[in-house]
Amino acid sequence: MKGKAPAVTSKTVLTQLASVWTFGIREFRMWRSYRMNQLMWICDILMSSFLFFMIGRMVGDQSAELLGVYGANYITFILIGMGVNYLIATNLHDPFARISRVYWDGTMDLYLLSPMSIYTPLVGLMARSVIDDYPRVFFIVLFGTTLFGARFALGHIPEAILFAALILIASFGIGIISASTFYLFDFKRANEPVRFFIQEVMAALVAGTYYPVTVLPYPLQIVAALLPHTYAYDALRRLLSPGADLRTPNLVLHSALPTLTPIQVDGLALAAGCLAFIPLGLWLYKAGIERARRSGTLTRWQ
Amino acid sequence: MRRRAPKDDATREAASPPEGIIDVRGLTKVFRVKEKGQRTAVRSFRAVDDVSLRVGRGEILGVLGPNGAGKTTLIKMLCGLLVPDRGAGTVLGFDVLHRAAAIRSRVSLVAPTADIGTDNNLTVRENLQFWAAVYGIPRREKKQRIDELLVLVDLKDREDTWPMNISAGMRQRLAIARSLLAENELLFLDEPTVKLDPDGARRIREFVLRINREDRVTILLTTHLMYEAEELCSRIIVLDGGRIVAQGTAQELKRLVRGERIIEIFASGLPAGTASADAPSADAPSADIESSIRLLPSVLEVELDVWDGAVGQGRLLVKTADVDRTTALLLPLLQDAGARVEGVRSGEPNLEDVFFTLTGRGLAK
Amino acid sequence: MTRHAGAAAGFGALLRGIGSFVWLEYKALLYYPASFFMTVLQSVINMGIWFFLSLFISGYADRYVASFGGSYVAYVVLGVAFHEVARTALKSPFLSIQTAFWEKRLETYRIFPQGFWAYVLGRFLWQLLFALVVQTVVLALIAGLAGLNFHPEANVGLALLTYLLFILSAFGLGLLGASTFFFLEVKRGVEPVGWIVDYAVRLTSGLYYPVTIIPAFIRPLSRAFPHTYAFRAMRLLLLQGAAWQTVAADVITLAVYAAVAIAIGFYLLRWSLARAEAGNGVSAVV
Repeated sequence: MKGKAPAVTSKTVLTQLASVWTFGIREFRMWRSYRMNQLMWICDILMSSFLFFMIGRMVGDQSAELLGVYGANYITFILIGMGVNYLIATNLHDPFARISRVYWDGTMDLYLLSPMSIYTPLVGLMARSVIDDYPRVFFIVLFGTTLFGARFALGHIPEAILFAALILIASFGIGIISASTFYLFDFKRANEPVRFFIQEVMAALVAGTYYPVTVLPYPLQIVAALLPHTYAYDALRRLLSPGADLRTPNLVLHSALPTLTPIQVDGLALAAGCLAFIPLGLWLYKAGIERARRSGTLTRWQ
Repeated sequence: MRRRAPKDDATREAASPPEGIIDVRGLTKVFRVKEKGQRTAVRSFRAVDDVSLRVGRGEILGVLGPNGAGKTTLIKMLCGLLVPDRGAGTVLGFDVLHRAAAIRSRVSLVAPTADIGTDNNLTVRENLQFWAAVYGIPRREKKQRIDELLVLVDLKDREDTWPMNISAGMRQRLAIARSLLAENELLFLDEPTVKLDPDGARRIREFVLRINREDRVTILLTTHLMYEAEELCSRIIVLDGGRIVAQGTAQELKRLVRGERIIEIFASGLPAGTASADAPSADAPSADIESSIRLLPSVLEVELDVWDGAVGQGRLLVKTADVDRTTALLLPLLQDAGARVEGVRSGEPNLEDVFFTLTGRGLAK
Repeated sequence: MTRHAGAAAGFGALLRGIGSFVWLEYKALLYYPASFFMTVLQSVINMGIWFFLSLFISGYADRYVASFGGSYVAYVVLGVAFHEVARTALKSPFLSIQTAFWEKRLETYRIFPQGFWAYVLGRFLWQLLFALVVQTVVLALIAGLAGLNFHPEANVGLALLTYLLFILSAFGLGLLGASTFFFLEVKRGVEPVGWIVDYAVRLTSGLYYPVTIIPAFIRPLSRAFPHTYAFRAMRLLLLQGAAWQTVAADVITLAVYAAVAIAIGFYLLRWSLARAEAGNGVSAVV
């Protein structure tokens, strides 16, 4: 007589959430023991902020002319780019790294031999990244405002939080797709191509982290239009930079949808990214686990 | 310690199969391995070949076999970590091919490598706390369960120590404790005592017998240690090359040896190097002595294993139909060849003898 | 049984050893060709980022680099290209020792008279050649696409000499940083000398903006690093077509810096190795 799996109930979902919380506590305890690492990234933020502060001195009080729709504060423009980049890079980069870790240390078998779903360790292990990387945004804002003259507009905080959430979700979706390649295509080496091409090639060059997309040749602006990063930078700069323009279009997709405001277009694009990348990522990840179960490559201990 | 009941009432009936805890037929697993060279080639080998077995509730089944016999592959298929290429059956009433997730959440596995799953950034106790939460153990039971297990594996006085500061044997005990947290009704032990000292190994064996006796936990155990298999297992299967070559109780397997017996001789001064089909026997000193022994009356098979070529320290296994006569002729032959006999053992066949009888090789090969 | 005559010693043996390690790195590259492609692409992207960033503000920044030809884009692109190679030289010794230590090969290299130095220098040479090729290709690509104009009367020979002295200076600092592996027990992560130099150089050496806009109280720090002299000299030579007299002070400073840094770095690394071997040894205890 075949058995039935327990039906998915709220208790089961709660159990998964409890496991994610457990991972969080563990990752926090581990993070606490790396004090030097924390000191180094605080210094890294300070130095990077100072670097762009110095570059900004060459622009001087002509920032408004330079930045156009993005307000009148060059350092604010840069710091929003840096902060959003930290969040995106974490969510996009780390899932693959975490799956790689559980493969090489042999714990994927143990995680699967538990009531956890296959997705729970993936989410749970991200806790380290969240604990280590997300607070950097706080330090960016802190150093920027206290030392380097950054100013932020506070009139659209709820919208900014919404856009931040959307880009976190969309980038996590790409991150899961990247993680799935570990098992699906046997990308056991560190340079996984999905993450490399999207984050370290395309997004780094064209998404507008350190300069507006409008600086790029038009073909590269079209490439930028394909990335969720582009819309996150655009929206958050418009919402958080003093003197920014909420209405004037400047991206390719803004011109393609002239009846909508730039913020609305950015929101739609990010929502579409979330709806596309998350289900695709989950499906590919599951396919990767099943493939690994068939080939016996869940961990390096066989 | 009460065994963990199935999750909810709807599954209680499904999780109590009448046929057996494990009931599988024809399990086969073929691995395809890429080999890099001038041309990339794919080599396939059958790690498990047409294995069928039934394990009843409360049994301790031993799986005996050398490295590469397919023991770990078999365990992984049974606990849902590996998809069989062929075969059918159930584990805990769940289809082994299509309900792997259900199986995985209801079994425990102790891996042979101690450090798997042990976090070096958490203390011994914190490691167990983490896994207790992952296994969904209620908070009010967690502390007591962890305390009991720490006492059982003799790590109570090390509970606040970092794993990197305890021995490999202690880390293995921690791994065992972790796997026992969930109190599942089916437990897979993959060479669980391999890194333990005799006292630690004895404690684990006693615990295995206790949970089997008191809680009717079903256990599938792989081991190299003959006395461990004989002490713990109600039934043993012998795997070689992915196939079951024999199965039964320890006594039934020993009767397979029949009148044939194994003489085991430990000696030094044995010739190193083995004869091969390409090397003339005259050039291989060990081939001389092996062929000489084969010529003795009643000798059926000979295996020479020299593990220290410098002093010729090694072991000779001789299968014979007449132990006394062969021993009387063998010892002078070895002395004439310059060997110094340090120990002779023969008598009641053990499982090593059984394996040698079935496969012509020692378990260590 | 024939006994071996003992490991060969001498400069010739050292050169052969270096050649062997260069060949080993080359074979490793062939084994992972995708890694090579990705490294090149990353360098192109890194340069591209600085290209577009400098292009973005060039309208306002050009006047600050008038003494270097007046093109902020050219100023930054040249600086980034040379800095990446120097960075390789700075990090190579420590990373090589760290890799060999954790892979338990360091003791093996120490058994032979030149083993350790052949390894460090061999890897450095390979990484340097690789970085030079990559950055030259990247620079040519950007120059071609973006129309960067080098001065038609640029003294290429002197520029190459300056470049070489710059790389040697960075390598000397790298040897200094590598010595911390043993005497400061920096076994994992980033070594402090390289970390400090890297940040200080980015902020004060004129890499991304001229030294003249740095606050006065920080400016003296820029004189401590060879990068300041190298960037200035290279830019003057290649963008302004400067003559020897204009860059003599910078080039001579680089030559002295290279000699002193390499000497100190070499002796410090040798001392720290000897100290480690007298103590816990140079093997990873697992």
